[in-house]
Amino acid sequence: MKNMLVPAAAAAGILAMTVAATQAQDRMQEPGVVGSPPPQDFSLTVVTGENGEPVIEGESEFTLALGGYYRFNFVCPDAEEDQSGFHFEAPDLVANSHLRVYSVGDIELYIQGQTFRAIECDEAGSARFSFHPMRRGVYDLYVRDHSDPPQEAFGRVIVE
Amino acid sequence: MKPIPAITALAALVTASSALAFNQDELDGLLETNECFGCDLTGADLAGAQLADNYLVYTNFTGADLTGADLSDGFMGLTIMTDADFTAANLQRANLGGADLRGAVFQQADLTEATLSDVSASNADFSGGTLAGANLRSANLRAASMTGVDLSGADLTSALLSGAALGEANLEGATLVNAGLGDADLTDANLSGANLESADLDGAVLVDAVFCGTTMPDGTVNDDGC
Repeated sequence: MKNMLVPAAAAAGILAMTVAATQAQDRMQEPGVVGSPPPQDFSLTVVTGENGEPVIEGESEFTLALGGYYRFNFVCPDAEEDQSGFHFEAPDLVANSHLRVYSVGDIELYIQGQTFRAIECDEAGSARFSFHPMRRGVYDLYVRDHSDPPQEAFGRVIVE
Repeated sequence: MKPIPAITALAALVTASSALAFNQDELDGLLETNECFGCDLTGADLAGAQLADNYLVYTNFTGADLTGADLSDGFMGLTIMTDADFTAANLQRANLGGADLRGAVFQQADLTEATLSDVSASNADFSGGTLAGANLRSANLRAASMTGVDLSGADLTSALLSGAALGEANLEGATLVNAGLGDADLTDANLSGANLESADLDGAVLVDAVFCGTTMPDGTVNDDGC
C-alpha cells in the first residue's frame, strides 16, 4: 500500500545538481520556466464500495522529497452523479506546498499565490494539481462521500 | 574546466564548515539569557546545560551534545535537531512542535507531556525514554527506535510509526487513531486502553502484545488480554 517516490526523486535531484554544476556556464535560463524537470505523477484512485462508501484502490501512502516537483492525480473511475460523488481534501498538504498548476482534463489553471479547499468528483474522471512540498511532515488525505455522517477513506503523504 | 574536482572540493568545504559551524557568541548569549532565536548551535557542547524555560525557536542544534541537559518547559518549536544527542535530558513539557529530529538520540530522556506534533523524527532513538502524555499528533516516527518507551496516555493521532521498534513499549491509554503502524514491531507492547481506530497495522508484529479494552482499527474492542 506504500509508494516510495524518494529514491527516484533523490536520484533525479543529484543528477540535476550535477548537470547544473557542470553546465551552468553553458546554459541560458529559459524565461517562464521555474522548474525544468517534469513533475513526478502519483495517483489516489477512489472507487465506490458496496454501501456507496469511498474505497481507495491501490496506493494510499506516498513518500515525497522535500522541494521535489510532483503531480497529484485524484481519480474517480466510477463516480456517477452529485449525490454519490466523492470529496477530496488535503488541507495541511496544500497549506505546506507551493502549488503550480491545476488541471481537469485538458483545461489547465496556472496558479499565482492561490490555494484550494477541495476537489469533488461528481462524475467519472480525474483532476490533478502539481506542487512542490515545502515542509516535512505527515499529511492526511481525506476522501468523503455526501452521507451524514460521511463515510470516509484516508490516505497519507509523507514529506521527508 | 574539470567539474568533478570542483564539486569534490565544494563538498569537502561544506562538510568541514558544517562540522565547525556553531557561533560562540550565540552560544554564550544563550547560556547567559536562556534565549536564542534562529541561532546556529551546530555541534555545540551543551551537555548538562541548565536551559529550563528556554526560548529557542528556529535554532539549529544539528549534531549538538545535549546529554543530561535540562530543557524542561522550553519553547523549541521548528528547531533543527538532526543527529543531536539528548540522552538522559529533561524535556518535560517542552514544546518541539514541527522540529526536525531525524536521527536524534533521546535514550532515557524524559519527554513527559512534551509537544512533538508534526515533528520529523524518522530513525530517531527514544529507547528507554518517557513520552507519557506527550502530544505526537502527525509526527513522522518512521523506523524510530522506541523500545521500552513509556507512551502511556500519549496522543499519536495520525502519527507515522511504520517500521518503528516499539517492543515492550507502554501504550496504555494512548490515542493511535489513524496512525500508521505498518511493519512496526509491537512485541510485548502494552496496548491496554489504547485507541487504534482506523490505524494501519498491516505487517505489524503483535507477538505477546497486551490487548485489554483496546479499540481496534475496525472499531471493535479487544479484551483478549484482560
